[in-house]
This record gives sequence, structure tokens and C-alpha cells, in this order.
Amino acid sequence: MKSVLFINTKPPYSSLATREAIDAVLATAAFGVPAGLLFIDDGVFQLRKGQNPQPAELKRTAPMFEALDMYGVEEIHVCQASLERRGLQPDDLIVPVQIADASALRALLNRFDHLLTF
Amino acid sequence: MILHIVSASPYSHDALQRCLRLAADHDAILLIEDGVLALDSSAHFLDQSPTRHLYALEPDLHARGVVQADDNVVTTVDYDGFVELTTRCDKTVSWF
Repeated sequence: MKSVLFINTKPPYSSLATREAIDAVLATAAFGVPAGLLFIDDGVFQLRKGQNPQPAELKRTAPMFEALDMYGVEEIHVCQASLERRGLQPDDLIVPVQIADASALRALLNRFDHLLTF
Repeated sequence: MILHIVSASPYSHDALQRCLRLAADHDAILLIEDGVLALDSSAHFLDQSPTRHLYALEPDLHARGVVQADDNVVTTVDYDGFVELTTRCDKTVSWF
């Protein structure tokens, strides 16, 4: 079966990108298709701990990422340079991730059969 | 070979920079929609990728009146050429 890498490039809440990506990932995983996630540039903010969007009357998206494990989605990759540029450490993120440098990022794009950007 | 399709303006988005960071040397990059603005002769966004195959969608160049530098290394394609590119590459990824 062909695998799909979901590439998250946008921060949460300012657009529907995060929710659309989660819907697509869960649908993909529900059909048993191998899925992985990559967070790059402002996309890494989706995984930051301590998000409290309720005062802005927005819904938390973070719990969905914590549930990915139950759907069999185990590959969560984060761009190292994007994290560093934003002053974030892996410990600042809500789920365990694999840190990817430039060559690891290119290897990811090559390994997955389909690449979907959000 | 991966076809990287960039559709956002390099002035207001980081899509092109993301693409240039992730594209391998033998990959192809196709600029469409506002992505073609990177080719304006007064823009200097593409200096760092001389070895990659660079394409631009001709109707989008014309629509925006983009004036390219004389020594530009870009190959222009029409819609049929766009389709042909996607069939020639193993897969595509969009940056916006």
C-alpha cells in the first residue's frame, strides 16, 4: 500500500489548515494506509505545549495529535532548523517526535509515496 | 525525481524558501500562480539553486507581466507541459 506524508507548514488557529490536516490523517489511517507527519516552519507551533485557545473561543487541536498513536500513526517528524529558529526544544512539544535535519527531510520526501501539504 | 510546485509569492510567504531547503539537486521546481513573481528581474530569490531544473507556467508569467532577466535559466511550460512534467516526475509536492 502506498504511504502518505502530511506536511504541516502553518501555525494553528489562523486558518483551517490544522483541522483539515488532522481530518485527512485520521481518514488515511482509518483505511490502514501508512501515514506520517512532518511539521516544518510555523507548522511546529501546532505541537507546542500550553496552548489555551478557549479564551479566543477556538477549539484545541493538540489532543488530536496526542491521539494519533491510537490510530497507528507513529511517525511524527519535526524540522530541526524550524524548531531552533523559534526557540523551541523537543521538550516543548506535546508528543514525542523525531527531529529531522536537512538531509533527513530530503530522505523523508523520497521515502513516502505521496506528499500532501497543509 | 520530485516535482516541487510553488504557487505563493516569495515576498509575502516562505513557500519558496521551504522548497529550496528541501529540494534535492536533481529535483525539478515549477513556479505557478504568484510563485512566478520570483522570476522578476528585480527579484533575487532563485540565485541559490542553479543546478536544479527550473520551470515556470507561461500563462501565469504573462498574466502578471513578469519581466525576466536575460540570463534566466528557467524553462517556460504551457498547461500541457505542466501535465507532462507531472508524468515525468515520480511524485509531486506543493508549497504555498
